[in-house]
Amino acid sequence: MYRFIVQRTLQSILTVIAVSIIVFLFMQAAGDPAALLIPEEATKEDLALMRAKLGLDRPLHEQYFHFMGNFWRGETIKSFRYYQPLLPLILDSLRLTLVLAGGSLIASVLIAVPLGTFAALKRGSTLDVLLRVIAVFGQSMPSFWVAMLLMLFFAVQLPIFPVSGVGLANIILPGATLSFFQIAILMRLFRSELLDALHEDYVRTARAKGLQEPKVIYRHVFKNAFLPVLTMTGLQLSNLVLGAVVVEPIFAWPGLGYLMVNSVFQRDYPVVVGGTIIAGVIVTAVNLIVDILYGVLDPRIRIA
Amino acid sequence: MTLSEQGQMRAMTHWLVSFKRKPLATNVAFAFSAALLALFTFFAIWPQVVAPYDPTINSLGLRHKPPAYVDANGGMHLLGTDHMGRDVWSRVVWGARASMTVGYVGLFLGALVGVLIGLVAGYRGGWFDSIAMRVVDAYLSFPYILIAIVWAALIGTDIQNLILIVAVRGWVEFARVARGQSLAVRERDYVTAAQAIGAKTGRILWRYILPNTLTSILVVTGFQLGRLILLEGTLSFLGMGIRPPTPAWGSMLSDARNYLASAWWTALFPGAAISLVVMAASFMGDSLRDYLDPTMRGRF
Repeated sequence: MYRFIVQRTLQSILTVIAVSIIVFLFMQAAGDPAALLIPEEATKEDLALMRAKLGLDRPLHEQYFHFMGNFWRGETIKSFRYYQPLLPLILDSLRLTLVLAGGSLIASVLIAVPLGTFAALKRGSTLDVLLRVIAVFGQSMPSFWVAMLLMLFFAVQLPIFPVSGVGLANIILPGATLSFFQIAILMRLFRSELLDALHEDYVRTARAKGLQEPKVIYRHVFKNAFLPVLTMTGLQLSNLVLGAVVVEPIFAWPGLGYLMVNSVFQRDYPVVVGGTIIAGVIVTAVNLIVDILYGVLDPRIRIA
Repeated sequence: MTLSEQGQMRAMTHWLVSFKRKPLATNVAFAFSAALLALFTFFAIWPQVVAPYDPTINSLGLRHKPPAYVDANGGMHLLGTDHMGRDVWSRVVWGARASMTVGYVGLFLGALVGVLIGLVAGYRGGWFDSIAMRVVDAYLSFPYILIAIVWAALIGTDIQNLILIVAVRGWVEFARVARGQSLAVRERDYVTAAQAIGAKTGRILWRYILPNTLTSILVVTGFQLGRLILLEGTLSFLGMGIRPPTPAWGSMLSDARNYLASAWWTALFPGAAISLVVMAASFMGDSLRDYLDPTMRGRF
């Protein structure tokens, strides 16, 4: 077991390092930041001076270690636009992303579980079919389109929710956009898990010994069907963080996605690179934790 | 007819028979998705046949006309016009070109590289296999969209670059499936026999291993097409994909964002187009899997 944990952890760290190198190289290939920072009428000497000051005249690997060292210490690298160190800026916006992602996750489970239960118990009913059609179509819809449709219905046609900003009422629409997909996935999964569990021998035994139906469902079916849903929920957290990157700019929810996309347009590359690394660390860490938990719960996974 | 041709014929008839025997729902899903994909592919190749107007010509006098609007010349704007007075239906049709090109070419390149890596990794094993599979794991645990955004934003968003971005995402699933099949087939007697008579690795991969992986690869193709088109749409929506004025569904939606209150139709139809293509591709994957390789159920 320890070997499994160590292996997976090392692998995750390597992944993050590889990604940080790739995005760093992209930043290098994007052009000379010194040329962007100095005024246009500056001479060649000024440019060389600026490059030296930013450390751009040093070998690439040195620049990489310099960048990463400063980045993680939360020091000196200033973003081009913001006059503050990068790390706190990114972590600050990450907080709002996590609020959005976490809220959506909780809402999705609370909605998907009853819907899935209903669909499984009333299998073949109109509602079951309807829910499945919505789930299938829902999974094909791009999140930004869902966001716009929700905006159209609940902010423009029926002005119930605000279109943008931060606050309790503001989180509803971006949260609903993110939840939309989670509900579709979790509901389908829970439905099929329930249907599997309903046909198990222990359920027949429970019924045969005269247990009342609600007790059979709760004690024997529900509990067994819930474990895969929990795992899936953990895995979806990383998808939610990613969804947030696309959805946040639409609703001007000032999280990490909003910060990154804006920085792209302002050509503020250090923020983009830093944001990618932090988001990557979060997602990789969540995946790692889910993997390890799964390994603890189900020993068969460890070998693979 | 050589032995392997006979085998292929048998596979074909088997496929046709299984087509008849499958439940109605599978056949309907297959027909529906094939028709939709064919339609959008037609749009992408011959948009001028279907689209009544030039998708890039602005006519500000016709700004934000609602669907089914008839202009002064008697021209009908089926899906209305956008903020530049361009016909939305024509732009949706022309938009297929960008998405389908990026999707298909990216898919093809990804499949080519992925299958090659997967076949060699599975057949050879050893260090190449370990490295390739570690990279695949890293891909699947890391959010590619972030890299795509940084790549597009920093390196550029011409169509070649977009295809490359999409292809670099696309190879992973192909490599995984091809490796699995290759691993399963390499111990078969006919492969051992080929090795014994001194066939070169390339020939063994091409003649004996590759044909055995084709059905699984075909199944992956369906799912992957939807995924890649969605990736292109997302990048275009974020302003890091196809550049205006070239019509693309993602960037049309991005424009429509500013006019949601006054022109809902500019937001509705491009999004519906993306959703339909992605849904058709995933139905295609589903039904191909049901026909060709039901054991893959649950793996994609």
